[in-house]
Amino acid sequence: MHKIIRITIFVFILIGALPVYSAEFASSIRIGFAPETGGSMHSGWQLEKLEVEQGIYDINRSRDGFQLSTIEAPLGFSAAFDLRLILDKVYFKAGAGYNRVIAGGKGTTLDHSGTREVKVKYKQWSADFPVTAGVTLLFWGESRISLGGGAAFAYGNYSNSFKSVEPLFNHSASFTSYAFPLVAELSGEVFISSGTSLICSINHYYGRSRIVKDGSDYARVDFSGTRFTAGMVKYFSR
Amino acid sequence: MKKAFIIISIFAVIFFSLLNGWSAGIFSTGIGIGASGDTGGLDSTVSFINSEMRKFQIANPGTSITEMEALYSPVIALNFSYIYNYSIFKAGWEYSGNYFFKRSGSLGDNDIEISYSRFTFPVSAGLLIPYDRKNRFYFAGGINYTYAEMGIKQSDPDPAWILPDKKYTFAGDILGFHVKAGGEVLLSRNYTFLFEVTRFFGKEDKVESEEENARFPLRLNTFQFTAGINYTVDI
Repeated sequence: MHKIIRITIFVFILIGALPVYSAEFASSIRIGFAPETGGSMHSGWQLEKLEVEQGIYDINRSRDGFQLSTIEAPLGFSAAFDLRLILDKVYFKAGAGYNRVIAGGKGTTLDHSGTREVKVKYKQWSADFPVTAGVTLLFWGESRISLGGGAAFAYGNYSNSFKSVEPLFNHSASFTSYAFPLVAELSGEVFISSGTSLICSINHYYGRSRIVKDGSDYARVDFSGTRFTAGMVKYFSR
Repeated sequence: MKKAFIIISIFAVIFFSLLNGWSAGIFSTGIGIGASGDTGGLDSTVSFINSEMRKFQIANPGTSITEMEALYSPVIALNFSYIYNYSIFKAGWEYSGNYFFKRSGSLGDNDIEISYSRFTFPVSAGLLIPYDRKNRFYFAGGINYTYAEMGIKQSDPDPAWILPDKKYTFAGDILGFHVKAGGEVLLSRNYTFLFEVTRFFGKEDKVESEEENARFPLRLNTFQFTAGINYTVDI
């Protein structure tokens, strides 16, 4: 973990120290949302006790006579910050992001026999440090489109909680781990002054951690998903 | 393969019939390398086998297991493009496989290994945002034909498990569609740097193994990005 932080700091310093005689240097800050944060939210306990094979994708069950509510795929809040070096029409970027479930991911379903209600709650947060490169074009001096890809170091926690009148179905677990997801990104900017622009960005992540155990339960922390963010960019050498 | 040739031929005929003013357009071709998420579509298969291993472990307490990972695989891609005004037409050939990064796991003393490779032929059409004649962005979509091969090898399978044989080999055709975004910027003269992100969609196709001992789904439902060099023929 410390090694990764040191490498990330080194990358930031390296980018900052690069010769900028023909380059633009910019920093952006953005906030937005991430649908279906956390992927399937599957865990071993769900398979063993509830006979749920794909987490949130098949945990919803229905039957007359029960007070049930659909467990929707969680919606995440996203925040991101990055430093970008633009060399003519190519860019290199390093940054940091934060993602947290703010809605969805909870409800009431039935156990595998269909006789007992089980309250379910999924939560996840993650922090990531993407390093990307790609192409960028400035149109008419007033708008910019960028497309790139790379990888990120992502660290996060996924937790679940199950509550029922039947003690067998009372369970909670928490899993913390890291992964190196692939990252693809597309962004568009409109300049509102010579050194400031508004930005909209779509970032797609793909990657999951190795299996993590918590007691007898096990799961992966899934960092996959698409993040839609908007914010502001400040150019320092424009 | 026959299906692929028919589809590609139909597209080629439509494509060339639309090129009334092709002499005014721009042809380019190039090669790129990149990465494909979940090894192109292996994730569902790996998840299924992992899940079956866990079920076996629940039924047979004390059995040790090591789950498999799917993660990414390298991609090599050739592309051929034709640009006319604000339109872009693309055809390509892609190869992705995990021969150098085989996915392995174990169930007790049984070592399990999965190999996967695919050849994909995407044909796309879309819109261009030109910067000038050598620099541009584009957004396109189209259909793709994939020939995929998947092999499962086991060292000492338990006859009571869902995969009781030592070897399973699957091969099949997958049809799907895709959307892509690309950016191309001039490096020097007619050479450009191309970066492209593609999202593949497609239904799975259940395929019988060559050994006729199992049916498994093959699919291509993933994203990939590639970066490379294109040579532009500016007519």
